[in-house]
Amino acid sequence: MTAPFPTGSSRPGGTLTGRYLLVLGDDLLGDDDTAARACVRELTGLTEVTSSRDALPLSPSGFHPTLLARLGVAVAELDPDRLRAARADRRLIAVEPERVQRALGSGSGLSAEYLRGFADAATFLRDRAIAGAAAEAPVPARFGDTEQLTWGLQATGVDAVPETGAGIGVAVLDTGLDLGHPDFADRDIESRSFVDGQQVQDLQGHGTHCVGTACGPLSPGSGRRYGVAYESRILVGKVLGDDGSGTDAGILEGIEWAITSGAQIVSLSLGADLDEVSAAYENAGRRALDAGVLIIAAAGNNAERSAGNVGFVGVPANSPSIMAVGAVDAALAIAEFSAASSAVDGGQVDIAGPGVDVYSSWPMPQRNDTISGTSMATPHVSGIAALLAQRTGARGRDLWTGLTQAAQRLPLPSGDVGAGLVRATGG
Amino acid sequence: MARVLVSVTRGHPVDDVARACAAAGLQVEKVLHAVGVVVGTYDDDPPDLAGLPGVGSVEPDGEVHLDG
Repeated sequence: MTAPFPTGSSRPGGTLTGRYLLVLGDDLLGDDDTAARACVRELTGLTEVTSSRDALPLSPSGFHPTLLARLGVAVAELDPDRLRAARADRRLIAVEPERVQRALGSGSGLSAEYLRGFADAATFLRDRAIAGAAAEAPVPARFGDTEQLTWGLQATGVDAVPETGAGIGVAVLDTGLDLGHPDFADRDIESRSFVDGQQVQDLQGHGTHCVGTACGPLSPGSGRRYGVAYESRILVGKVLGDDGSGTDAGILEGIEWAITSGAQIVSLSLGADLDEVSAAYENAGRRALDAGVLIIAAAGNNAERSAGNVGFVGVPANSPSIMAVGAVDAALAIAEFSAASSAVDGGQVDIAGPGVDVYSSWPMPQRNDTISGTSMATPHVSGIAALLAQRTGARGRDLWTGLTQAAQRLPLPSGDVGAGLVRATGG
Repeated sequence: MARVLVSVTRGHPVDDVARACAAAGLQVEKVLHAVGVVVGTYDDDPPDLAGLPGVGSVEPDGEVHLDG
């Protein structure tokens, strides 16, 4: 639980009250304030919202969120987590700190003079925000592959940093790797199969694609760059058979192998659509973090957003100690299939990565392919984790924090993208 | 035959828990020290493992698929 954000009214000489003005979008405004109240309740986590439509005085204590319904503005206290969520909420036009223009009286209610002044200020603020949104709204980012780079590497800033992943071990536990793929010749690769009767050699393609995104070369033999941590040490654990399925036992064994083999990052582009936490994976995630190893897992593809189904984060990504990755497309919009946070403890999406139309390696002779999934977003995060680990020396929990702090905030619900788009810069 | 995953709680040596599970009737297949999990099987009646010292949870081994 996060400590409440301290109110600024008690700060000597402070010019902020510690509260925030939530400028509501038009969809929340109407003849009654039901939708606006519900939104404010959701964003503050408080059930009691005082509205200007109520017969009661407006929030005399200052502890209840106050809704100025006709103005489309609410005033509320928000702790940092709720502030972050509010700023990502597309129902709001703006979130700004409430400023103190003059010392308020210490009476039990807000004076009519203050309310008139506040209403004027709120109207001004709202008009300005709407005008600003119309005049200054940035053209939505819409990336595309170039001859040099995939859109995902551009969007995450991978090409703008000097780190290579050198000295960092990245374990990709998946369907294996095409060990004869020319793009991985001369690389430091350790591999092992945990699938009975099958070799590491990837006949499915999914594993080769994921390894390519996380660890592929700076200059492939043909085509554009698609790999992030191009000098990392690659650990390939085949935990999914060539039919694309595996068992928890095999995956846990793969995680064990990755940890004991010196990986700092474990990338899992796999899962099961179960809306409950597995104690075994949580045990693994926690012990991995204790050992300085960060496990990063795909949130899942069980959403069908165009049909109103946002899905849920499945096993193992829903473990509190495993970082869950959602997928965005080249316009940085949430992917149709990308699962949203679930209600289970740890079921949040933590971060997002490029996961639609991702070009990477594929078993020969095809060499490359372009596919989509939270599976494709995950190795972007894993590779960037390797860059960050190389740059800062951070491991485990510190690396998790560094990734989320460096993430680019997106105008999307945090329940879909967590802290935002993974970024190679910052952290 | 059914396979189960036994999660070992903090502070308990994984080997000790594996031995206790084996004594209770689990056919121990793998002892995963780094992740704190014992993998084992049983044929007919599931052994009573939940009350053993160091056993945090017992869950069935499940199937997992690629996510892309």
